[in-house]
Amino acid sequence: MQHYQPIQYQNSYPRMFRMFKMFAIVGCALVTVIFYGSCAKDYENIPLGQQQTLELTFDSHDSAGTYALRYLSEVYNDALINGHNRVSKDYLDAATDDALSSSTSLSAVEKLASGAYTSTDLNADDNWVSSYKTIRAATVFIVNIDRVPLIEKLPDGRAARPAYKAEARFLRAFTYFGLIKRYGGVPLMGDKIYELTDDLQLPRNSFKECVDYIVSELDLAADSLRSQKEINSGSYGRITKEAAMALKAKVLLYSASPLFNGGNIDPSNPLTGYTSYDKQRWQLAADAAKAVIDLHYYSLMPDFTSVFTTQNQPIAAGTENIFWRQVGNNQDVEKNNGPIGYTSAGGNGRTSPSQNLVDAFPMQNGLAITADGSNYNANDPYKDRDPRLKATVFIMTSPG
Amino acid sequence: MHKPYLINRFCLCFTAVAATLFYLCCCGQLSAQPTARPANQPTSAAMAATSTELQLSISGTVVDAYSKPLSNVKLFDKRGKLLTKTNIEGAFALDATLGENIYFRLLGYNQYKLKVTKAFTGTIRLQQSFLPPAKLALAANDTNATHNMVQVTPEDTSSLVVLQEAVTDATIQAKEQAEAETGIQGLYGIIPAYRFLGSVATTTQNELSYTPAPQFTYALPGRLAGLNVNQTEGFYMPSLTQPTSVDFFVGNIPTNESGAGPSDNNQFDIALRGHNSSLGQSPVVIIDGIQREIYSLDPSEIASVTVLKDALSTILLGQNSSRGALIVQTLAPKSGPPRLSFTAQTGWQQSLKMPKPLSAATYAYLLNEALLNDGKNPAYTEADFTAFKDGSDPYGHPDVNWYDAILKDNPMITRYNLNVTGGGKKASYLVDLGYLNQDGMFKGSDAHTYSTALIQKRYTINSKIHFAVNKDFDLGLNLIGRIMDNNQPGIGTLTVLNNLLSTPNNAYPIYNPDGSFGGTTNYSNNLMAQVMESGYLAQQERDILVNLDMRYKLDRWLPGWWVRLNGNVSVQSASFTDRSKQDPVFQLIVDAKGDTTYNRFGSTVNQHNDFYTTSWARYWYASASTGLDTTFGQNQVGLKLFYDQKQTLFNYDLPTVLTNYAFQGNYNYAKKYFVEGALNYSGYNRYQKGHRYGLFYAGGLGWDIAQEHFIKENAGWINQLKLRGTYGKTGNANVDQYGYYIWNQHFENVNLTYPIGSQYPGPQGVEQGSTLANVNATWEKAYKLDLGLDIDLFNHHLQGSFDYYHEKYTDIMQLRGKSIALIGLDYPAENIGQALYKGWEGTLTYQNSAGNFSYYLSGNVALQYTKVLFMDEQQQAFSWNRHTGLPVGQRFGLIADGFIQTEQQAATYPTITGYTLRVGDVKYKDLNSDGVIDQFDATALGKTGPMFYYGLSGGFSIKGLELNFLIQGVQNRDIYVDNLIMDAGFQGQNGGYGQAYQRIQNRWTPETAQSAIYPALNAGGNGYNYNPLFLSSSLFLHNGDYLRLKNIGLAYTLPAQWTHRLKVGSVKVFVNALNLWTWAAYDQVDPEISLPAYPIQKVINTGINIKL
Repeated sequence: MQHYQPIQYQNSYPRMFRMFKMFAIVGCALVTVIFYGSCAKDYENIPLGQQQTLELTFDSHDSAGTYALRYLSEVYNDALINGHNRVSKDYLDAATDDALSSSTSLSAVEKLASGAYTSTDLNADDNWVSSYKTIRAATVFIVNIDRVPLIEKLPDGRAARPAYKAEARFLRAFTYFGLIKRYGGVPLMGDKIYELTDDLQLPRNSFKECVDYIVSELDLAADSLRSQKEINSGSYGRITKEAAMALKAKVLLYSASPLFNGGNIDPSNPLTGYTSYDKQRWQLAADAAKAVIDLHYYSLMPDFTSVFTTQNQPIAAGTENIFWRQVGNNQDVEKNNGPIGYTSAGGNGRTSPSQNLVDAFPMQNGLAITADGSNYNANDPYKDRDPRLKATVFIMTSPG
Repeated sequence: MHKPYLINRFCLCFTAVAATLFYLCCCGQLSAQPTARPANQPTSAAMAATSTELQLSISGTVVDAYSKPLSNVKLFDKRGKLLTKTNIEGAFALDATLGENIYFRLLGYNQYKLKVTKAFTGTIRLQQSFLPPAKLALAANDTNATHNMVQVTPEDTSSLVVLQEAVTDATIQAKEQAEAETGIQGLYGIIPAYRFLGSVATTTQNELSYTPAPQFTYALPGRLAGLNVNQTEGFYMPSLTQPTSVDFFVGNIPTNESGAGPSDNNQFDIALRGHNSSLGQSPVVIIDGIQREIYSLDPSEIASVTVLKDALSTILLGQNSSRGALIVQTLAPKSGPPRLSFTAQTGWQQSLKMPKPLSAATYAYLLNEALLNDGKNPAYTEADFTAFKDGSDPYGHPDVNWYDAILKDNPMITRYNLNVTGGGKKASYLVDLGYLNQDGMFKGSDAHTYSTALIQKRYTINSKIHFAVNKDFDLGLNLIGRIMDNNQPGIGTLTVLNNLLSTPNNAYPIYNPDGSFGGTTNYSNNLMAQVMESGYLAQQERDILVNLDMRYKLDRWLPGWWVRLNGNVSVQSASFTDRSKQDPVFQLIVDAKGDTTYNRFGSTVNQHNDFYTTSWARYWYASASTGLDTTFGQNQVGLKLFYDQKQTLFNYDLPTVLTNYAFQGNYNYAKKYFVEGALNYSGYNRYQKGHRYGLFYAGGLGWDIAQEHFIKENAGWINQLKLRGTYGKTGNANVDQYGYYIWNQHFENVNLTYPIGSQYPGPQGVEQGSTLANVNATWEKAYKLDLGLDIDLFNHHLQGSFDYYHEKYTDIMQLRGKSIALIGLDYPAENIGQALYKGWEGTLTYQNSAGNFSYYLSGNVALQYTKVLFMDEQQQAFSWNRHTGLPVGQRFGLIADGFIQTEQQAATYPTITGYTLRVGDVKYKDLNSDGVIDQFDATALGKTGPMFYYGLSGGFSIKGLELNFLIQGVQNRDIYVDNLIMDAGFQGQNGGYGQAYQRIQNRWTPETAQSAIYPALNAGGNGYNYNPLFLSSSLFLHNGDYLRLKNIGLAYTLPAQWTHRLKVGSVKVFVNALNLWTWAAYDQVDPEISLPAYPIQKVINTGINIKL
């Protein structure tokens, strides 16, 4: 920009005046342009899809609690994961003598079963991160739902809000149960919602503390949950008081079992189990189970297949199902596991039952196939067998 | 360990370059000596001699390549005495002695020598020099013009008058043209070279247009010191997906990772001073003053590409100023009579380093070996081997080299370019039209009226008009349009490339006896069918940029005061038409009786006819600035206020808005001492309110020692010796790389959540956004110091520029070291990291001529250190596990230490938990000697020293014949080559085993135990050998040093006598090549592109250029 003439210093008043006038005009023009540019109507401050806040989700002005209940649905979704073909698309049965994976290479469950699982394999059953996501999601609901002025009532006239809160509590306890099954004692997060600035280098709680916490949470939840009798077609699938009681029995049974109680792999380590054996733990488990039985609401169903194929809405008394995961109608189980060539669903044959499994089913007369007088005919092996066999494995005469 | 080696190499290389240049300087100085002697002091002896010799009349016209007259061309005798100059019509006339040589000289043009043998009258054409002359030489030339006028002898008065006329007639445009030649391309304008304090590297039109390539980015490697350009894809791969995710409730949620909008660069990694281009740190591209990520422009449409590297010269970019800038200037109008240039060129491409597949028989043999190693049954029998070998059963036992089958040998690349420019006192114009047609390597089908081949077509138009509305008001209008049409096979280029890599030779025959496509139950899609019969995908991109530039001089109010307004609107859209289809494949079965049946696999899919819009973007830019440039006495002052705003609106995104309010000031005394400073208050709207604006600053000092009297008087050969330094705080607002509005914690709707009651599928749900909000997100900061030295010696024949830079980056976005999953959400990227980037750069250029022989040699080197200062690293158990203190992006992994040779070793050697070693497996070093290979044995792999990259170009011109070359290389670089298909082979695929390549024949066997470079074969993958602990293994790390003869070209301009008879300015025929020859330390693969990316291309190109 050096092509301009040097300044001629002159003392000329009108010229200076004109100069300032010009300065002013140009300056005003620039300011106007900039000002106008910044004042024009713009777009949203926050993009669509990101505008929903915590306050709106747990809206203190919404007596229907629409968003809060949607949020709870998502907590259900996070906590209750689909267990079918979960680990490397195999059933866990493929890790036992009951079945084989049909994978051409060694599948993860078989590696787990046969000890071929090494540090060069990815964790096929990694749910640490997802479990703590679920725990946070449930805690957010537990902490915030009291703000929502829900007017909904349970069929027995109690307020529904404590029941919803208890559902989240159950789901959180259920998730902790999944963690301690795999890892032993894990950090318990309580009802605190941690933020970016919080210190999260938390120690693991002992196995005992975890079991105690889960049981106390389930006790707390059971009081507020709706009972099975109150379930109707609108609430079908929700967590019930009976589910909480049954889960408590299961947790106590697991914790009383030799792996944790007396058979702790590191007897001095309170993280991997109890450090001493206590016979009383079996009693607690039995009592908890008895409490469910004593409701006299559930009983074994006469027909094995109907456990899986009948869906009573709402669940009537005298059924076996206490707690289950809901999915919509689909053929995923059949597609994944039906034999190849089973064309009505397009079987992928992921899991193949073993002969061991088939041989384990007794005859219709109750005798094992190897027992004298069982009338087992090796040339017609499926004849007069326990009817549960045909409901469990595909045989030549299975409906196709 | 590698350091001494490197330094040796570095010293050697540098010494060689320096020695060559020194030699050339000496020669140059000798030849330059006569010129230095004042022209008006001829010795009396010489005067006496001339009077006695025979005088011949020499006259004619000097023209340029367009046959347009060149004025002010100086004619010298061999002693350097100025004989005469050409006038405005390019005419000259003088008497010369028989046998004398007359030298025609004009800056920017090659010297022309005329030997006087007889009386001469005719046209002399000067050729433009390949490299532009030194900026300072041109600037000096401008000022010397007045000096010369004072000194001219009375006979020259006529030319003096003309010259004065020319000066007074010069418009601002013409002045700016001159400025552009004498100044350095800054961010938004030209900065006079003498007062430029920053660090810069430039490549110009001739170098660019010599590159036979579809985009100008191909011309950058090796040309610009400090810019490391690495090619990652050999063909333009347009995006075929929408860069958004579709949300059921809201509509489309952007997944845009760059606030700048879509980039058309998917072929090059452009890293300035070691900054990672994948983290939004690649230089900002500014095309004709406008920030746009446009790379796909024809190299011959570009006047210059400049990279600005330091804080001061990029500070106006505000929150993007850390990134540096790549300034692309398209060709500019040139006033004068119409000049027309037409270039047609076509080249043959050839893929480099295509892998060599195993023949079917070898494949079968090695697969059996692999299966046996794994304790499985062999897959092939003796009879199979025989059949593969003798080809007796081409349908049952095929052996198809798919590379030969579906690839063309030499796809063509064709370019046409037409350029017209001209203008008068009031206006000048330029129109540039470009066309590109680049064929890909897949064979296309002739059976259809449409093309299934891989083709890139591009049409560009660039038009520029400059008006001098009145003597104060200047207006420039610039319009760039670009259309790209990309065609590819319906299955998609990427799928073909992947299948080509992974399909074994014996998978299936191409065709069955009945002409149908071969296939099997595992391969239900035939590769040839995918290339020939899968229909096509036609992708189109359209771009329009309109740029209006207004300048007003307010000299009559205040001398030196000016105002400038600049506005730009550009739109870009991309879409594609899916007309793909699929043909079934058949397997021929011959039963025992000899009856044939065909089994059909795969399905018939009728041709689609779908249209998708992939992206749409609008860019809006406006800037306003006003300033004062003035001189009093020896003092020069420049002041400037600057405002600009850039808005990008991309698909469904909310716009990004980057705003700068800046002040700049510069002062120098007698062009000797320089001070410059700038402040920029810059804001970006993608941060939370209150966190948007920051202040950035930069300053510089300079001292041109050559302007001191003691140099001027004692060492006149030093034209410039400038010490300069800049320091500044810059920013990089790359938050868009880490998410969309990451400061905003929010809840999201979820579709189809857990079903309650009889509602299937489930109802709507709500969940918390999966990532915690980073409410404090801010820009990355850099504190950049750049110290430099510019030299210009020996009458501007030797120029050099040397820089040391020290850049400390803070607040680098990264995940914290302690990101603990217990928090229950993902951690956001936070401003945590600190890194140091420092290094040395040097460029040295020498150009001169002797007689008709003009030549140049130019070298540039860059030595680049990086270091992680802080990365919130967790406490590491062992010193070798630590990343902090090592170069940024250092690779970590296990050290492979030979192979397990004996069963006894296999039983005792440390291994990864759970893995049972076998003979032929890789041995890993157990660094902490605990008997287990685990993460504590991972350490930095490969070189930790500085990377060194360089380029050396040179060339000469003699009597219309030109030769130019560019050598480019990188030293102290690693490459990691672990493509399992090529380096392990037999990957599990389609229920069988995939292709393997000749490279794996170097596997471990008992016989090759000592020479093996790969472990014993296995089928279907082995995590221990090929991906231990999901870390790298030094087995696959190789020396990545390479050297390419990147570019070489030969051109011949037909003699002026021939072309003038045809009324043509000049005709030039040329042949040039890209990637003609490569040396790589690891020669199994290409050092830049890793398959299955489209391979790098060697191009041999021929063409013709006609100027009118």
